[in-house]
Amino acid sequence: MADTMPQPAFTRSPRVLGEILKKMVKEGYNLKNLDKLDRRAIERLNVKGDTAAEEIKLLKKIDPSINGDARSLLEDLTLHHQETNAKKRFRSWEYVKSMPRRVLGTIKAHPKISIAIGIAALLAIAYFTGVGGMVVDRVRDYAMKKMGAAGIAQATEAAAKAGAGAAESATEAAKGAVEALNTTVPPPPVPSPLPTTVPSLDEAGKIIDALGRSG
Amino acid sequence: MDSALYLTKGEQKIFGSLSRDLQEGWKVEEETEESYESLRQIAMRYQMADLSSYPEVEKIAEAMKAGKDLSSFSLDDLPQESLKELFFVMGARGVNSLIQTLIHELKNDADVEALSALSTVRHELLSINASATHS
Repeated sequence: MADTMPQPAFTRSPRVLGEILKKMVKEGYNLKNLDKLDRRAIERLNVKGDTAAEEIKLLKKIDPSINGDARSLLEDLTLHHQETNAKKRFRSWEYVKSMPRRVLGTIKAHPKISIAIGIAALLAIAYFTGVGGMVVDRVRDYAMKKMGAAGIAQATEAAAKAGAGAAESATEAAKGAVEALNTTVPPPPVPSPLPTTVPSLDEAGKIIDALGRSG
Repeated sequence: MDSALYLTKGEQKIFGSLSRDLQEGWKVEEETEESYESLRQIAMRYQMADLSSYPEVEKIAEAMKAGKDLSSFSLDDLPQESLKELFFVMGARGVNSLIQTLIHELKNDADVEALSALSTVRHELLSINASATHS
């Protein structure tokens, strides 16, 4: 599953996609057949001509207004069906059901991680409540403010500690902190554990951008 | 609580550089799966998010709709249980991002326990993703 930075705009909302899937079942279609339809298979259907595919025919029957976007709709339906099943599997997983509160508490207490999860939570709430893309920019602001604030706080603390040894007063240390913030110091090299690893803020930024386009 | 840590080779190196005290008592398993979600999958998960079991979410949503400043939002406003829903929504790539942050900042057993939990969640999500055909 290579990340090709797709533009994840869907033809219908997940709620509507779910309704279409229900109608397909009502019409006697076995949704397990969707599991066999990966992108390539859908492209092959398209090459053969839309009318040749059982799924496309069925979609046109369910919604006669479907025209040129039948293939895209089928792709979205397939993805929706796949993610619904994935979610069921994840939610039924015993480990996640029984994760101790203290572990979740530790995760929540971590300053950077709590911000990253906060970004995820705000975006999820936005989509869940139908506000969607309208608040994406505000969540981005939240991310920048929080990440910025955390970064500045850390830099200030580090600079204050460093300055405290040399300076006799807190004022001197604070002055050192301000100077440190004004100086661009390249970060120390960090070993990369995974070629695809991205820092949290970059990753959050990618997801926020993608969601902004899909809203 | 399982005492396993599912770490990639690179992560194992970082973990191996920690003090013996911190490493003690953990069984390190190699994470070899790389089925990270596409952004399309993540976008679908966000839009499918089900937070209906958490009435607290309503208050936050109202604040969003009213255009209130989000910077006062804290995870304490959300029930612990909803974090599990969020793990699915952010996917293995989101959880991986948390791991990459935490693994460089391990200071005590509680941190390693949190790393174990996150690595186990990532492992399961990657395994679920691996059986998917549509990204």
